[in-house]
Amino acid sequence: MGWLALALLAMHVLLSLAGPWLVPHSPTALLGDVLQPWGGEHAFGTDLLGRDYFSRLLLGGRTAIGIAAAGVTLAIMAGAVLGIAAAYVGGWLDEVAMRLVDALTAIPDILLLSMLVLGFGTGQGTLIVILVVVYAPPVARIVRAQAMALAAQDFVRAAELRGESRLAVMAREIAPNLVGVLAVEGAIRLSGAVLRLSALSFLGLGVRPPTPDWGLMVQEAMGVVFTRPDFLLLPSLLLASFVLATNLGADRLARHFGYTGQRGG
Amino acid sequence: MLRLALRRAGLSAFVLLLISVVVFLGTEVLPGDALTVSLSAEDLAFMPRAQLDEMRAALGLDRPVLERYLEWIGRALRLDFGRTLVGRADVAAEIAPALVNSLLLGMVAAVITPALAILLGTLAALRPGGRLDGAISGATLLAFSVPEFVLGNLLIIAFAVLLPVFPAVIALPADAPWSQLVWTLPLPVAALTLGVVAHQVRLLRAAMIEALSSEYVERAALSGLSPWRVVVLHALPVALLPLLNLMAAFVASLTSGIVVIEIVFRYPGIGTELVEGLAKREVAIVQAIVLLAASLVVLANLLADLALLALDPRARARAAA
Repeated sequence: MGWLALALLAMHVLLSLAGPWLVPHSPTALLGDVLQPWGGEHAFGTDLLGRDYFSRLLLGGRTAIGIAAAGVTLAIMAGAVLGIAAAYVGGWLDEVAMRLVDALTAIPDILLLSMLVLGFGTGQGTLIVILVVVYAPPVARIVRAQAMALAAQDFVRAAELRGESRLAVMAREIAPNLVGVLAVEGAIRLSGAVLRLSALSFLGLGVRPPTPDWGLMVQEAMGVVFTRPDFLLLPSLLLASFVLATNLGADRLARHFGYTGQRGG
Repeated sequence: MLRLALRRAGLSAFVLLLISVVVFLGTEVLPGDALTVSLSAEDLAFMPRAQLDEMRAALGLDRPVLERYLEWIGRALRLDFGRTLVGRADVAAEIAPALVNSLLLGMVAAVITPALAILLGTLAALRPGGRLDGAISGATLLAFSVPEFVLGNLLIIAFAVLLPVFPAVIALPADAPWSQLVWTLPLPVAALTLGVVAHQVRLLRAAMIEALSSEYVERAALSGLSPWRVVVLHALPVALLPLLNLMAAFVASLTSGIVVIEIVFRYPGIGTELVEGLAKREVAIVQAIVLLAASLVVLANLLADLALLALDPRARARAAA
């Protein structure tokens, strides 16, 4: 399982970074006859508008994966800062931050995402910021709980008695001990964010046509599902393979760091 | 106990207040106002300034933010969510039938999912590392990785083509009678359940393994109780307690799932209303649905915490501290 996950991840990273140079055709060019069968000039035929399906398929993940990777990285950093500060400084900062976290995590993620998309739009930079708003709060909650446990330990007490500043204690004593937690959370949130972004595109609220995107491709395929089930199955398979590989990676990280993580919500 | 419960309820009320601020800020204030959100960018660019001002005044958007928020939340508390921009229809009356349909779908899934999770999680935990555990754990990991909209479509392919028993695409009006809707439920419920159950199976399996290896279970087994009595009456209740903490996450992911699944099967519910509302940029409809969904999550969280306070003395001690 480990090798499979690693191979799948390597494939997705390669496609995300170098995809445009690897595919045989432009993913958006109209290349003649629509709905051509497999084989010949177009390995997987052409789609409803006569675009090369194979090229669209290979490039269908990079937008969502790229946005999710950037958004989740920033969300993990923001969540870590917020969670550590809430746990260590405590008092009204903790109270205010955690009630805000309660409020933001109470809104089901698809609804929060789509509401923010309505207000702020679906530009790539905007989506990254929106992902930070959605994913930083749950990370902050988990980091806070872990940081609280750390703050009660002797090495933190020792640093305090040495006269280290609060900032130094948080940055040099507490934060380094959260690397494992943050890595596991990052992997879990990454697979979640790609799933959510794809669902958003499927609903017609995310990535805009003609950009190739697996969620959009599944939506487009629903109209021709009985004649061309491959149009539905192939992007689903690639999306699932990315999420599966990331989840397996998260499990591996969790075992390595001895932290099981929290999914859902 | 009563004092603890009241304090916990007060906290929920405060969180609800914060949610309403987030919803109001996210849809009406930060990007501009309800008008700039409702109009497309092109309309906004080409419309003369005077006309925009006129529309703002007609919608009451020229008033201060705080005043508008207070009026909006005051009305929302009485379940008055305003009117749509196009057609001036009453939002509450518009979404009520869809809400009821979604509750039907959600409640069936909310009953089946935990039952299935308890069955699979317990079976997997009986012999960790065994063949059955491997199969169940593998299946949950797979179910984790396949998005709900794909699961739904796979079910449509399977049942509409190979085994045409259930209607694959529903497309009934929102006021269709339940006698008609009930027959359409199996596939959406199956897709919804598969999407959410994996998480619960994993957690229950872990909690069950821990419970089964504890001393009180060993004592129960040594006192000669049958293995099933030990598992069901002694280990299971303890393994279920921590799951109460995840009640809010369960309701939230169920709600997210409902939105997607309804679009897949064209089920006449709140998800369909939401996506239509988003496409037509009907801010009032989106606000109402998001607010209602979040309220449901907060309520579920409150009930789970109160149940935990009532059932678990350790939780009472923690809350009182």
